[in-house]
Amino acid sequence: MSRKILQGKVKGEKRSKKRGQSVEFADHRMYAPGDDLRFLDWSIYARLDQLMIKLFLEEEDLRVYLLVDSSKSMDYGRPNKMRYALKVAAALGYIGLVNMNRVGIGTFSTQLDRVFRPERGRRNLPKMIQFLEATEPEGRTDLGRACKRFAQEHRAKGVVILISDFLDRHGYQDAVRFFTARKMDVFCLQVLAPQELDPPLKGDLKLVDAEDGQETEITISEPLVERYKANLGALMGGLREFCHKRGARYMSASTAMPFDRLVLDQLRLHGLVR
Amino acid sequence: MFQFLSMGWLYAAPLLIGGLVLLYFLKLKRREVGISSTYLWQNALNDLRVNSPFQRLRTNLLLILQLLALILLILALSRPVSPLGGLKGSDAVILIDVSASMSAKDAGGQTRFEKGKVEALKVVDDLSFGDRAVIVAFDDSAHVLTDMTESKSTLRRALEQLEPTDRGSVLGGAIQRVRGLLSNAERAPELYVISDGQVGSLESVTLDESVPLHYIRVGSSGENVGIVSFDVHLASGFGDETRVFVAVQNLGTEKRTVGVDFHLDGELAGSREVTLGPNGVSSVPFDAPLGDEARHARITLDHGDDPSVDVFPSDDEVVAILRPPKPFNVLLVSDGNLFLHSALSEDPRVAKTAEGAVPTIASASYKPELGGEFDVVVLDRVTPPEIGAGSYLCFGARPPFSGLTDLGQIENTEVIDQDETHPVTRFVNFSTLELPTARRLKPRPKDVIVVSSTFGPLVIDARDADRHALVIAFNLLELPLEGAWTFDPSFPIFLSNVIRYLAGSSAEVRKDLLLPTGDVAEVTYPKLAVKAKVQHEKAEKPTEIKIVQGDESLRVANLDRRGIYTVTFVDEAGQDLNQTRFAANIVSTAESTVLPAENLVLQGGKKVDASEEAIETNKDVWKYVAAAALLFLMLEWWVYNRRTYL
Repeated sequence: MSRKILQGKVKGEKRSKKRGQSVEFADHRMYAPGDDLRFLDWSIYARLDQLMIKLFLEEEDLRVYLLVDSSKSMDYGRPNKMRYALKVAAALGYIGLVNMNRVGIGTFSTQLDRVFRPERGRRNLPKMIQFLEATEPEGRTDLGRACKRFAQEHRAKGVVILISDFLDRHGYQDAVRFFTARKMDVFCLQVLAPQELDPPLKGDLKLVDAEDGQETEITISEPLVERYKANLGALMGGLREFCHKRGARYMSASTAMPFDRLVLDQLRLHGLVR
Repeated sequence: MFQFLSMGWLYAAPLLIGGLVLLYFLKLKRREVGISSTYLWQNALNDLRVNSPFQRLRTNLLLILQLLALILLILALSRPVSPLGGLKGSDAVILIDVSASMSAKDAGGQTRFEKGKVEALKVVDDLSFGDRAVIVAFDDSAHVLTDMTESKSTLRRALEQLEPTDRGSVLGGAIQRVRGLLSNAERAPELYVISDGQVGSLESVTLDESVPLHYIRVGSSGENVGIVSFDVHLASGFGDETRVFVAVQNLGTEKRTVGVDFHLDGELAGSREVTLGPNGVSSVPFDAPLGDEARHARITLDHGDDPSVDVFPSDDEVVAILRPPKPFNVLLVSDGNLFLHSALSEDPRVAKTAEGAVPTIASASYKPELGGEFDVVVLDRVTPPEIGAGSYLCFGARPPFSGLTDLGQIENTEVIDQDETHPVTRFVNFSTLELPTARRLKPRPKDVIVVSSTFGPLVIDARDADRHALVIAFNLLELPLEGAWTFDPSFPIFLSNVIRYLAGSSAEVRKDLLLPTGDVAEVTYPKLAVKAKVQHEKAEKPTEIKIVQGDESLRVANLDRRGIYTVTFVDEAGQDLNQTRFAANIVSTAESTVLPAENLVLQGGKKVDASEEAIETNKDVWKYVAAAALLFLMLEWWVYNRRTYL
């Protein structure tokens, strides 16, 4: 499930960079007195007349952190972004638990609101689902603050899947940096409603922000809509590029796409799911 | 320099422009829409404003375009005109023809009068600031409807309330009437005549050279077959038969066949068909049997399948009230004359007493004033010393007329001549008259000899001031019994002729008050009447006329419409007394000639050619202003859809 080989405490399904006893050859090193002679690579000695010891990969469990944006801005769209994000989180959480990964979930708005402590094993599935179902949208979005808090509380490295619309006036940069600095494997999934991608608005309107109630009076016109879409495209493009530069991955999804297709096809294509 | 014909819109401009600006600054009612985040929309709005080259101004282009469009629209509604000359500081005298021929309806459905009103309204609308006008309607007289005024609303109102009449047309009199209005040296007067040109002779009309006359012609066709004459009279001889005559004339250029229908009390009583070439005239008679009551007679023309060919329907109908002749009141002054008594009794038109006899008195009872109480007084062998005003038939004696002398008796005379044209000799044969004796009368030069004998006149028609006498020089009782003339049918016929002749107009069917429109009716009124109510058959209410006691008759003028007029006499207490009716008709070749004239010919042969519409005196530019307003509105619509900002 993770592109990177991450350190873990329990031997799980994922390969670990720790060279331990396993059947999978990883590397060579020079023989030092005291090494186990069973691991001498005799083919290299025959060829190079040098004594080399074989190194093997050690498997350990993978931590999967699902961070779901539960701010008011997610409670929008048809299909609803919030419901969609929770379904995706539930699907990914299920995959993680079934594959003996430790799955932890956090919901956030202005701050980290609720946390589901990392658990392992299929038996934690109902508890996880229950946790997700109890999530209600509230508050504004402050990605940076919430991610900072989560990163502080969960130091073990793992995969962080950040599911949000990323419509944060404070920006997304700090949020991603908090995880990439800790060498976490970050996957940003931007969930947007079709009505945000192609607004069906007409006439003279007073737009009311779902999070802070700010009102903006506009008269819909072609240039305005085009400018809005350009700004949205810039936000998405900027986030993609930011992630790419820092080794994180990015994907945007419309809630119009069935979430099972998203998880089984699109996320597989992006390497998040095997 | 431009002027504005409708200043009201300019006065309202500040209110309209202020209203638009106020509306604009009122909060536009916007629909609330909840969205996830206004963050990107705000950015988009800011981007548009930042990218605008005129961001400093922040002025709404739409408001400016709307104001410009509104200002241009107000200017267009204010009717800006560029004066071409003409009615500038001038007085316009607008003479509009309202005579009968203006009711003609040419192609297009409008009558000439309606078209004339439209042209007159155009002249009024074209008045510039400072110009004045007066409206004068004319038929056979002129009616000044307004003062000379600048008020267009007053002029328009006068025109809108105007109605045509059925009267004739005399323009010359109307021009004379308005001459004073055309003589103001400080203004530039102009005369407009709106008519079809059938306005009578203008040979005596002169106009100052400085006064332009504009003849605006209305109408196009002259195709008309109409009734140009109407008469009623009694048929010859005894009886109640009356005959109605109409003359029908084709005043158009095409040969036409029309039906002539005669209705009596609403029922068809006769019908003829006449075919007339151009200018052809035909006289059509109808018998009109009368009873004891007055009867409503109506004669109409039927133009067949296409009545629209005839442009002037007003002359296609005439009406009349036909009254049966009243009985003749005859007094026989005789000491006994069976022949006279019998012949007068046999005449059905001679009034009888309750006993059925002709009123008779002895010669000794005669009084001169009796002449005024009877239609005819028959003096049988009586020469009273004096007779009063009236009509007399004198047998065997002369009336006491000065100069008419009796020269004595003559014997064995015979008739040698009779005036066949005299009414009393109609159908009378005097050849069988044998006169063993007769009086030799010496007539006066002014007397008319009706029948002559070998020794002088036998029948003399004599008049003396207010006395009229037919003098018979022989005594009926001295005629020989065998073959006497008194036993001849000629005798009662002669007597009947004399009675009807001496009774005068009362012998005729009372068709008096059969008048042309525009004439004056003279109606006799009862002694107790103090006023009369006169009402046309189509009028909503009557007109009251006060009766001046001492006048011989009531004069009813303003017979503007053809048809039946009813006169009801009222006493002091307001009670209706009796009622009489009379008819007025268009029976005039002049008014039935409806071909519009190409020009008006004034004194000295000066011609004024017709124009088809009012002279344009101002150049209307409102169309260009309105087009500019429309362009700005289209631009505003485009900008609204684009929503660009300054």
